[in-house]
Amino acid sequence: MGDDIVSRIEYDPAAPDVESIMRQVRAHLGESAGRPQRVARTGQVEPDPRFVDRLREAEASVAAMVTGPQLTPAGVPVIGGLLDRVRLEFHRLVVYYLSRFAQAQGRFNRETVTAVEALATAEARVAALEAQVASLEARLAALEAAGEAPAAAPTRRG
Amino acid sequence: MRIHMMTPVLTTGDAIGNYAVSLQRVFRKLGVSVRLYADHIDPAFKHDARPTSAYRPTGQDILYFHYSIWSENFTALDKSTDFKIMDYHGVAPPHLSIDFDPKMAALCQTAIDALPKYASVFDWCVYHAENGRWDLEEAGYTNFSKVRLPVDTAFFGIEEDRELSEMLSRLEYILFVGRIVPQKDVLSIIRVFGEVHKHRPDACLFLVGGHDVLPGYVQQVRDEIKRLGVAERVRMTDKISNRAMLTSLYRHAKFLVSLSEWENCCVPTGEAMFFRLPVINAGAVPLPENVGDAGVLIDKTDPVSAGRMISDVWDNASAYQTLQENALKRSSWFTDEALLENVGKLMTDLAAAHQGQSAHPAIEAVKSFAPAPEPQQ
Repeated sequence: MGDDIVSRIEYDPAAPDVESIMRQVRAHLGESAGRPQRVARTGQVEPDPRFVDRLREAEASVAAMVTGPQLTPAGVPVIGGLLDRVRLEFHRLVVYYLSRFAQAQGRFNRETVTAVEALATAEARVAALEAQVASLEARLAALEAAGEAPAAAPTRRG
Repeated sequence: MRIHMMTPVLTTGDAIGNYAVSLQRVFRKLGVSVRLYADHIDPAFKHDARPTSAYRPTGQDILYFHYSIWSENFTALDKSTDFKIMDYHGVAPPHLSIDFDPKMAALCQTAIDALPKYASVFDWCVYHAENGRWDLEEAGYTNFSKVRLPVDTAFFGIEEDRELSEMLSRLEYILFVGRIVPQKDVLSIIRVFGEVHKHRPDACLFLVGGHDVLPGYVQQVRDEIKRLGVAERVRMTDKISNRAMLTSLYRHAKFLVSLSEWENCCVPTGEAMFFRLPVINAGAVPLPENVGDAGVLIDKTDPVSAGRMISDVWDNASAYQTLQENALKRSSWFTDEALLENVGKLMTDLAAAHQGQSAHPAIEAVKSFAPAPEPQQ
């Protein structure tokens, strides 16, 4: 048992002071309840927030893919107005089909972003598990070096 | 072929949500793609699930529908042309919540009333304990497979909260895991503990679960704790999602207690078996099936006798050890391996039931995924 943990726990080794221990348990659970949960019950680990931000920016960029028609006046005397109206209708037609394409592209982008986020999450979880394994291996090595056999099943008070 | 798995809510600490994620994992091991849908999705699941409105039936897939309460997703069920499997979680009796949450009670009543009507809609049912099968048979369903709810053994058992464990190892306590709601009959738990406390003044009780659902009932529980004079021995912790803390709480407990008025499967009892933790229970289904000879059966309407019985078992090392051994034997029922086996059997059942006949396109695909049935002897 680490010295840092023992030094934080106040109790009389001869006779457990239940009230004192319960107060400390309450305090410990109360402190920890507000801590952000790095590993949720499903074992999910959040990917790097900067990575997620970049994905969200990519997703949001779809909204800017298609804007309305942007025409500069033809500047031709007499028939210039008629020319501009014809060009406007032509541009609107192009924008209509481009918008349909953009919507389809947007759906694809959103699915792709979701899939990539899931991959990033999985990768983060693997990294967390690797760290956990390394920690457990270190503990096991320390126990074996001290001559203690590791427990094969969850230990229980009898 | 894909499985579209639908549930009303996906949130952390919810048994059905955790089970849906476990099922998704297991189906993927069997080579079947699963998409999760929910009406309400917790941010923790944002990478894993889609809103129900994103579901598009194809007529070639399976809609796997978790049935537990009336919800908006029944609209998607009504319109689906996919092969429909109901995973039945039971519906909490409305009288347990009518005084505290009439809206929830109404949703429960609607789900109960609708159950027989959907017998002609669902093509197959999954249940978790025999009491679920009784409900389904009574409502007119005929095609079933049994799949026990698993314990998330990837969640438990590795890391403890070492500081918390050091404190807990110096206490002797009973553990309750679940929401503080009338269905769980937490008031009876307090009264029984009050009697245990008379025999064992240093014994403690931890109530681990959310208490934001029904504040009125929570106040009743607090008042009862105060009335019995056990406030210094009882701790209401709120929901704990930290797996190291939950592992510590389970590992150092003397008993788990479950005195529910109603349960469909009671996941904490499976978790208790994993930790070789005997379960104090009142014999309500499905506890006899889940816990059986790993439990201490009490009459919760007689807290005095119950307290004495629990204290006697507490002092009897030999009897207690027997309970622990029995719990260990049962723990294999609730593992991921057991879930994989049960899901494989579900697919085998589906394939076998449609052998030699033209089946829904999804079932034709299931036949190629289903493990080979065990040879008959």
